[in-house]
Amino acid sequence: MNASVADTTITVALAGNPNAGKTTLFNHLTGARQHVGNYPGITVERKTGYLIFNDQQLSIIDLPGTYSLTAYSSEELVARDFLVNERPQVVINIVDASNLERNLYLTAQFLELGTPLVIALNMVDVAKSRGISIKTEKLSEILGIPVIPIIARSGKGTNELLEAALEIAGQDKVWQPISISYGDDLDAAILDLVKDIEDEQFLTDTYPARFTALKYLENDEQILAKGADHNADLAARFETQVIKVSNHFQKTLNVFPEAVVADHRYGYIKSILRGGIITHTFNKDRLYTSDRIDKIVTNRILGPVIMLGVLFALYQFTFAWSQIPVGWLGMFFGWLGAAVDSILPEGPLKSLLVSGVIDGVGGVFGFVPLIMFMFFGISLLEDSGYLARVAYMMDRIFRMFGLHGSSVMPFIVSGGIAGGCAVPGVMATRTLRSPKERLATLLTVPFMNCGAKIPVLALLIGAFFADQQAILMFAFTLLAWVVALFAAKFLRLTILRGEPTPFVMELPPYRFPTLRGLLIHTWERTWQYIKKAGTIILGISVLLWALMTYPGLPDEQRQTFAAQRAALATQYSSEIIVEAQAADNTLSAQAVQYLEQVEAINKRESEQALRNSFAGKIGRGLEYLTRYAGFDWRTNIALVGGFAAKEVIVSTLGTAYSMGEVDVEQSDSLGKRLQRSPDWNRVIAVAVLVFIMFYAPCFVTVVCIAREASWGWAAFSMAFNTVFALLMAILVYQAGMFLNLG
Amino acid sequence: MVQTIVIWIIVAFCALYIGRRYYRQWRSALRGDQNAGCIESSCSCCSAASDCSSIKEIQSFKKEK
Repeated sequence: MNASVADTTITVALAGNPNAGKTTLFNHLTGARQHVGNYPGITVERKTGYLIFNDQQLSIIDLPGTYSLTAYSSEELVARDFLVNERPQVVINIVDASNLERNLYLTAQFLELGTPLVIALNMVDVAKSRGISIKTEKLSEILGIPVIPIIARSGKGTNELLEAALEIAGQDKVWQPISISYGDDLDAAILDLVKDIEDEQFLTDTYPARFTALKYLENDEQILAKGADHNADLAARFETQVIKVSNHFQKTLNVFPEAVVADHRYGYIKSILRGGIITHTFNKDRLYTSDRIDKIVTNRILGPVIMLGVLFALYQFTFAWSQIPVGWLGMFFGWLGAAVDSILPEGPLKSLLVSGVIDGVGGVFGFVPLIMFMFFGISLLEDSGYLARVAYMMDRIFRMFGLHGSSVMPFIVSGGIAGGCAVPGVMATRTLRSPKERLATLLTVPFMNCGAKIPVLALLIGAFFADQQAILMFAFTLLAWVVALFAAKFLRLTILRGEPTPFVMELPPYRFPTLRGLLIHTWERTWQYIKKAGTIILGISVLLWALMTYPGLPDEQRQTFAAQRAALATQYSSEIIVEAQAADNTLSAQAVQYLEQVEAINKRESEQALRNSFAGKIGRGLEYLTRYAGFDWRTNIALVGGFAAKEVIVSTLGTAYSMGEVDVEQSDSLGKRLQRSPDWNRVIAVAVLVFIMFYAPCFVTVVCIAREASWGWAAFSMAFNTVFALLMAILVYQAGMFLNLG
Repeated sequence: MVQTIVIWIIVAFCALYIGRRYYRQWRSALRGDQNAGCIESSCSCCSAASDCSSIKEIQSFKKEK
């Protein structure tokens, strides 16, 4: 006998739903070697038994039967308290094989607590008689824990069960809770609570931080009481925050957070079982409404077709409804620019206000209606539960490219549909267990069309493909996905090789969104867009205006243009010149001709001044490379500015084309100015769009990548993305011009 | 001359403001804050249909702390 093993006793807890067969198993394992008592202070029985198996002494505790680990009953409290206070080396979760879905609800909570777990899949004979067959190996692989089929009545499988339990106990690992997603709203609230709980070491000696956060959101009385004992002030603050979250859920979704948590747990379980875990010999149709809908919506063939149709419909809806208000805003800013130009005297202040602010930031503000309608559509998809189905269906495709199903949500969050942000997308990759899958995902999520790229896409698509806006937007969205997936595949085949890991995706039940909830979500995001345009974009636009204005023309060149104007004036009589300067509506043909020639000189002077500015020199310097993609120096300035924030591309183009524009009578939108410019055509527009979609991520995304991976990978992301984007743009431009598509 | 002075005051103010914003975003991103990319780090509104007001409230709790 191994003296060291015999000297220690391993504590094994038996837990599970009532009537799952715990006591039967307990009696079989311990026989007469059991003792029945009570847990202190309550009438709940405590049953302890002993056995020796493989020279190892085991203390078996039969916990009360529970359906969950909440605080609604003393049995549940006893079970939970035993687990966190006495920390058994292993928990055997007895699960009724004929009622797997309901039993796995408790299992999910054990996994969230992080207890070392083995599933004893009991009554497999009963399940078989009902035509239910369960793939235990697959279930084990998905859950990451042993699943041992047993028949507790006869003792069949109990040796294998005990061997698996001893193996888990012998690993003696730190409890590793899993993270189930509860939807974007709750997940964000949980993350923030977890951060504070960990920082303040709030109940962390007893419960995992995420478990505590969840229990606060579920309004768990015992945890609230323990929290108040531990740190009353902090507990009160958590409770206040949770009340606010709860009120928000009431307002937008008409539910309490506890219901959403339960929904998502069941969604998690459904997804586990959806992967072919259970097969029915009899064709029993006991599907609920959500399942019935999912039979069609997530069907292997129909599902992707519906998904593409929904995506296209989203863009069609967005462009159809926003076209008129976007046009109104364009006209308004055009009028505003002309008005300010006519009021202010000539000088740099006028240029700053008209070109820098109105024509710059106005271009970004002009797309507010489009953003609003797009966010409304996305909120509808999210609140109804459809986005989770999109993620589920993409899993199959992702596996083909060496990515994990859990990668789908980071892609969607980053702008897979449209309008996301790569920052939370990069951070959402933390849920991926495999480091290589995680790295491949976080390096490719910046390819998605985030919210900042939307105004740029809308501007260029609207200017050059006015009749096909929805189709082009749809096409660019698909292009982003295709490129991201192929880039991920490339990484997974080369520098990030490895095996894929199993995946479980939560599928919460469908919900009918409330109009109020949709409007609240839409307005919140639209307001953030407006705020960003009015602060960061405005600030950067002013700085870029300064870089595009100074140092201005050298005196010599200024004098050259003045001389040209003077020389022109000598070719006309003084009456004609006076008539032209009167700016009357009824001018003679000669006066008109004179004015046109003066404006042409002024335009050349403005353009030369812009070329000579700091930004202009940078733009011209980059032209040596970018001309092969059809980009001129003004576009280069805008693209450099895009590193700060992608919306800056729109405002910088607005400023650059406003400063070169002298005739303010023609107060056109930026889109129209680009249409009129000889430096732009359809091919160039597509090349620029392709570049913008794939080049270096914005500043804050790069910092996130550095934090989540390393500065080396962040630098790689910038360099690789930019080179790749330039090559793609060159290919598009050269091919387009060769085929005469411009 | 006056216009030039006014211009440079405005530009300097914008430069300071933008510098401060991006410095904050840099620090937020390095802390692992998922809201780092958003205006005032107020909410992860950039992500698809996320709940901004609840995050704002939790963020404001942090500021109070």
